[in-house]
Amino acid sequence: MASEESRLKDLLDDFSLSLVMVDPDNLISLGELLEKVETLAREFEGLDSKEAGLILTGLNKSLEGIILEQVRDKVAAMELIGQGAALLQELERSLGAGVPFKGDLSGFLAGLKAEAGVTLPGLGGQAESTEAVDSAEQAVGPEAAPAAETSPASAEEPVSDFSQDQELFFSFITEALEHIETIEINIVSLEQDPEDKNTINSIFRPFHTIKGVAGFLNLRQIHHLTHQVENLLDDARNERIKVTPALTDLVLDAVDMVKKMIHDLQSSLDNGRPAPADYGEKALIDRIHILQQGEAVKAEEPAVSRYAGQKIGDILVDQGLLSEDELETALQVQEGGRLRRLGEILVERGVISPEGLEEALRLQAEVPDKKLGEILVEAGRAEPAAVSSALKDQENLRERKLGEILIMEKRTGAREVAEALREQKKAPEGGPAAAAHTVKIDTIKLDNLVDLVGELVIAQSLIAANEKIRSLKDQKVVRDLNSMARITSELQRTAMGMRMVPIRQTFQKMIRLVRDLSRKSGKQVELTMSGEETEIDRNMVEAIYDPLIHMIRNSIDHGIEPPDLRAEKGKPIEGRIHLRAFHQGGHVVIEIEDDGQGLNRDKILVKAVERGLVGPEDNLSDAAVYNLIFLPGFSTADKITDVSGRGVGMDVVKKAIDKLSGKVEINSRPDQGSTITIRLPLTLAIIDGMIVQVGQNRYILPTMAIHESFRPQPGDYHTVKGQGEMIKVRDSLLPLIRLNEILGVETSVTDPTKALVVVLENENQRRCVMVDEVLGKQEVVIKNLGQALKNVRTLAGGSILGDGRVGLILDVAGLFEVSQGFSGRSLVRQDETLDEDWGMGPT
Amino acid sequence: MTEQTAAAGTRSVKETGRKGEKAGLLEREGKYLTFELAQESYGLEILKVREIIGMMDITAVPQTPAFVKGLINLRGKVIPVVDLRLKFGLPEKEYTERTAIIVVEIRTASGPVQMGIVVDTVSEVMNIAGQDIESTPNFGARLKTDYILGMAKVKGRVIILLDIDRVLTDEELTLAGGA
Repeated sequence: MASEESRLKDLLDDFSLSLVMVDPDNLISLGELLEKVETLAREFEGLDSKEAGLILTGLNKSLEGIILEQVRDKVAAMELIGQGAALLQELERSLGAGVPFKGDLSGFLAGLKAEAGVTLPGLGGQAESTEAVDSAEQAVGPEAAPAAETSPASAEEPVSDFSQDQELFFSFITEALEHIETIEINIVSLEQDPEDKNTINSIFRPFHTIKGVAGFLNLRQIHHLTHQVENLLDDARNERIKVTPALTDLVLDAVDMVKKMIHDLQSSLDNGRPAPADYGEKALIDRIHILQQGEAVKAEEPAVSRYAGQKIGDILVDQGLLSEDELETALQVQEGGRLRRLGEILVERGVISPEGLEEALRLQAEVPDKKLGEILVEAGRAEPAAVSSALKDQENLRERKLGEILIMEKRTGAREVAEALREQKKAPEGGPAAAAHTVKIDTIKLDNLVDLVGELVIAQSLIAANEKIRSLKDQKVVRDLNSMARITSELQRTAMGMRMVPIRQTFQKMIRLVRDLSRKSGKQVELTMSGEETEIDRNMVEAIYDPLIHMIRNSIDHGIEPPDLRAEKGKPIEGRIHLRAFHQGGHVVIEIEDDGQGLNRDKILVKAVERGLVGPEDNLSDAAVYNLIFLPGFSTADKITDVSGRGVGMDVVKKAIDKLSGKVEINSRPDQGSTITIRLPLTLAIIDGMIVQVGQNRYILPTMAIHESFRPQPGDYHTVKGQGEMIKVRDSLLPLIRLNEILGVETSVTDPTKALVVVLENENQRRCVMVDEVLGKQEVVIKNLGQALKNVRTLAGGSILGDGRVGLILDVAGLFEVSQGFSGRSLVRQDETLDEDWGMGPT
Repeated sequence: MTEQTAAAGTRSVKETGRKGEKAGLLEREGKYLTFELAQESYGLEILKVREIIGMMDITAVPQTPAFVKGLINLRGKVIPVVDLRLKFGLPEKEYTERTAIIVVEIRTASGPVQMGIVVDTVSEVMNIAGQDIESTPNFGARLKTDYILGMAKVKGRVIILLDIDRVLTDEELTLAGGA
């Protein structure tokens, strides 16, 4: 069934895209990938394909192998998985087209054996590592499999018996989390003053405590990890090693891992689910050992940073890690902390009421030497415990650094503050940033508001157009109505504007990515951006993130040359990627520009011809050739890197952008660089539509898909026996779709030369669609039609027209699809006689 | 089966020979909105009813089964409307000024969904006691008895209590024929 196929295709695309994003060291993303493989396996089951079964089993086992750190070379294994994904897509395509599968299965299977030690039936022979494979299947469960290299932590980890001593575990969890908070705050201090012994001690001690209790409670993993960190810190405080950013990073990583372990412990206690056997502690502990040996760590950060000398709060806001609001609050706390009165703290916490405070203050005035806290306790207005806790906080919050306040109030993580501090340290003074005020709103409320405002606009225009009201001919009425129209219009603009957010956040996330990637690839790349304040629809922010990431990775992998090559070419050693966003004619345009080597026109063309995507004689412009890379299965990379080059790339990006009703294209100048331009509608919720009439019904066609419209001359109409009707549009013959037939409605206009023909374009295909009339352009709000109607392929959504009635928005791709399998007869009523023979011969 | 007299506060199980079902029908007790369709009375659990509106313009949607009448604009939201007569295979009737659309909120796999159902007239909200509800006899093919929670006997009439979630989330509803 068509919908099943496209679901499979979607799943495969989604899998490929995730594959591209995954970081082989990130357990969570690997776990997600594994889930996706399992979903794919279920889907393929129905298709009964042996090859698919093999590939999927192979993928499953290799992923598990990576997760359990049983593969030697993670990068190679990931490549293999990419190969598998590409093979699956090939398979899906062949199945869809009904042709036999031609992919290189044996190569893939051989690779599996070599890299992941996975042997699948069909290749014969026993694998030495079958055991590893089998135990891999059971690994994530109560019994941990013996890992290839034994290490005390991950080997033979019997689940601790939680049935008794629940109390003990609970209090351990609470205390441990408190200790971790302390650790995080102090690490930040350590960043600023790496020589301070006291700070090191105040990090050492909590680790020591956690280690002790964990040992007592037989929590081996936590015990072992904290033990290692404790040793590291011990070395640091005895000056055997120096405190460097690498060390603090490491400790923070360890803290994260311990946190996870503790939270998993909590879950096991709550719902009996056993904790994972492996958190990847081994890798972390290795890093600890390396540091302990005092190996030099290469300096990664450039000497001067964008954030040099800025205030820490501003840096964090800029990085999108903190909202302006939260910064304000924290600053107030910091200010107030110095002068904060006990009374204020108590009122804030709801321990006493403002009136109660007033009273107590009056009492205090009478007996000046009495402390406020005492008065409150004596008057029975506050518990001694509450007062002493407030007093503690009063002390705590005074004179604290902003970073610490932020961590204590849990506004940001310790790691972010530490990094921000590092950024800040790099060079002389800068200036403050302006603060803006924001609020968080539930999107459902926003959507409801927008819906209602839409209705208001319609209701108001209905009143204004009402005959009886117009016949009043009263000046004041007219003026008031106009005023109402203006206000409603403004209201609508504001409501729609609330959906927009600046693209800055998304761009910011790319900074980190570029830094990581450039380090990984050994190339030097700098990311610059402009137009970050450009606003896009909030629904698009998520959706645009993945494609952007992929395109940037592509740039770095294939575009930017290695430093020596760049030097040879006379280019600056540091490659530059520039992100630009701006509004242009009802669209948001995002450009990704790099100054790398550009696209190789010839190579692309060769590959395209090879894959049968274009004919060898076709005359294509440069631009057309460059845009071939968006076709599925395309890759000219000689070497498959960690990410790109698997041929699962640009077409998935294009699909993602298409889903957003956007357009993407690429342009390039050899050796100078490439520019990818993405054009997105201002908002997903509104489209520009053309209202057309067919019979008694009105429908909406997305303007974006409309190429032109006209009334055909008799000479333009052609029939091709057995293939249906066509209209000549300039020099090409385009198939004709009769909208009334596809939609099953009646119309009296059956002669194309008396009707209007609209040329629609979708995915490089063009068709002529015949309608009675074109009524006009209108911006319409797209409303989702929901579950019941999601299978109607010809519909993209519903909308409310100016008279309050529902208008159906047609889906161009769906229209084309449906008309393809369409005999032209089935929806025509039995007794309808055709005026003339339009050439619709027997089907 | 023997007669069982339950403890104070519950009603006695009357008929022998029927297992299980009898006890279950006590659960069906509650408030129902009753309406008419082709001279038969039906009931809907009141908690699932969101509102009742008079007939309004319905925009037809292509490629949907006949009982899916189309879409309406409900204060800015676009919701689908189903004609229950057609869904139950009853002859279609012209809409009068008494014809109404009951907007119900049903549970689907993807969350709560609002839909409208067209009925001949809306009657009243009534409290139906468990003892007045009997389990469904088998009508044969005409009316799928999966849809029916039970048959209530009130004031001499029989009211068919519908499981509206089942009625509206039927596979048929989401299958839209392609070409």
